[in-house]
Amino acid sequence: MLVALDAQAQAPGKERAAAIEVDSVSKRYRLGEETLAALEDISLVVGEGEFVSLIGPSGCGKSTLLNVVAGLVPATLGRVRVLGNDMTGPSRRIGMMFQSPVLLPWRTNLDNVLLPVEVFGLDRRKSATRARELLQLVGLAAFADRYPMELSGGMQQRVAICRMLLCDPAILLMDEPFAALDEMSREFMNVELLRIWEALRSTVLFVTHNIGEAVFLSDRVIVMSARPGRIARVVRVELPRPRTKATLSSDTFFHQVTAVRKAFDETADRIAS
Amino acid sequence: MKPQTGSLPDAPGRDAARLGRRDVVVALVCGALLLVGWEAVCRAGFVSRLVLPAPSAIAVELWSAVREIVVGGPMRTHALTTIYEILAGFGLGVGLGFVLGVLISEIPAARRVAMPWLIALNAAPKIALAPLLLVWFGFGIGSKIVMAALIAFFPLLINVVSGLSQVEEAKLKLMRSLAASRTMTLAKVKLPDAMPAIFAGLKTAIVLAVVGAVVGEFVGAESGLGYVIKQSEFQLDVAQTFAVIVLLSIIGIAFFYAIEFIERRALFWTRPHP
Repeated sequence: MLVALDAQAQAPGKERAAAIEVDSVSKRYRLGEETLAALEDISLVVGEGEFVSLIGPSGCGKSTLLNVVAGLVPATLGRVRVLGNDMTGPSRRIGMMFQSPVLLPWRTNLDNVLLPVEVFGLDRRKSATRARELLQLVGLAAFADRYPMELSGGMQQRVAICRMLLCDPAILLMDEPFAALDEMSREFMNVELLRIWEALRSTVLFVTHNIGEAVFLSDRVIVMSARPGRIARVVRVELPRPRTKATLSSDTFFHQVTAVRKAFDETADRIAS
Repeated sequence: MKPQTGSLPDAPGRDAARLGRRDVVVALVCGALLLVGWEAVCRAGFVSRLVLPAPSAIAVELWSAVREIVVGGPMRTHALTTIYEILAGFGLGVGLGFVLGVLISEIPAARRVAMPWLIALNAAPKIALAPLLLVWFGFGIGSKIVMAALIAFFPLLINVVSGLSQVEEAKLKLMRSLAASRTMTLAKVKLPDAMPAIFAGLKTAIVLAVVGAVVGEFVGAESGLGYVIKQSEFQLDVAQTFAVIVLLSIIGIAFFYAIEFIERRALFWTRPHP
């Protein structure tokens, strides 16, 4: 069988140390008289160096879960441990990326990449070399001293990748970073992201609503269901690494996507019935 | 994709806002026609020159005023007094407005305490305070500076508060994800992001500072262009009154465009990029 479902897929596998531990986390919002359960009893473990995607219909709480892991939103119940420490707030060991690049238009691309260094109060000059290396890595070395508005959407997201990576975070949390891009750019960014990640092997939790993207990038795909947000299925992706553009047209990739789609549809059916 | 560096047509919105050469010609012709008509009405003797002097008479007065300012004379002293009052009042009002605006935006308790008072004060006709200010701060430039500061203060305060409250949520989330302190977020994101609103406030404030200084001088002064207007009124020298009004307008416009010039330079990222 190409896809290992659930029971075996729950664990990070290969004796990895846990980087992210989410333990019975629930998140409820009060809406006047009613309470809205955004997340209901979520438990998951992401191993060190593992690439895990969260996928599900809109409103399933996948972004909320990411924000809870990031320490941006407190959990109502349960607890989150990152690198062995309880999360009490945002951590410098986490790098984040959002659906929009969120670059500051009054800063050059290089200065945008250097923002975390300034916020952390570290030596700007020492990091400038690293920032230029990163821009080189994503093919934007020539644009270091230009402004974000001179770049296309995909290029801006590559600057955002550099900013996320600058201080070598152990954990990357990415919230639909390529959802606003057209199909071609998204595919290109997926390949780029994996190329960069192969060299770093940081732990990634990646939110998306694109099944192909989730399969191509991940070691495991976590399928969530909506109202309340729950983990419905966990699918282990058995695609050899390093994965390249060629992977996208392989039969194996196609079968994996079909398997995840099936899991996805089953969840959707269960909600509908 | 390389950034375009060649000369490309501007975005449509900007095109519509910018005056074309033809528009300028039409505007100038209309203005000239108005002046010619005005002159004709006065020369024909339809109105007394004590009510409406001819443009030519105003031009003569304006010329002598400008000459006095250039070569030195009473008019230079008056103009410099008023310019000083405008700038000092503007600086004071805008400085206070900025500091208070930031405090109100950043400290919820300050907002709760100060906001009702500020709204009430803003609604009050501040010009009506001019006689009182004269009593408190005297016949000198002090009362004029305070008057100018008082009415320049509110537009800046309000624009700082609204500018800081409209910062894009995504940018704030980015700073939160970096565990940035409040002062760091204010300095690196909120203030630069609020700059367009703050500059809009500065432009309103400078125009109002001119009004404040002149009203202050009307109420009681020993020098200044507002004082000259009142003197010429007493002497039934209406042409000089008009000339000084033109002079004050020129001063106001000059300050306004000086701020706009700085804005264009400083806020380069708000310009639409080709």
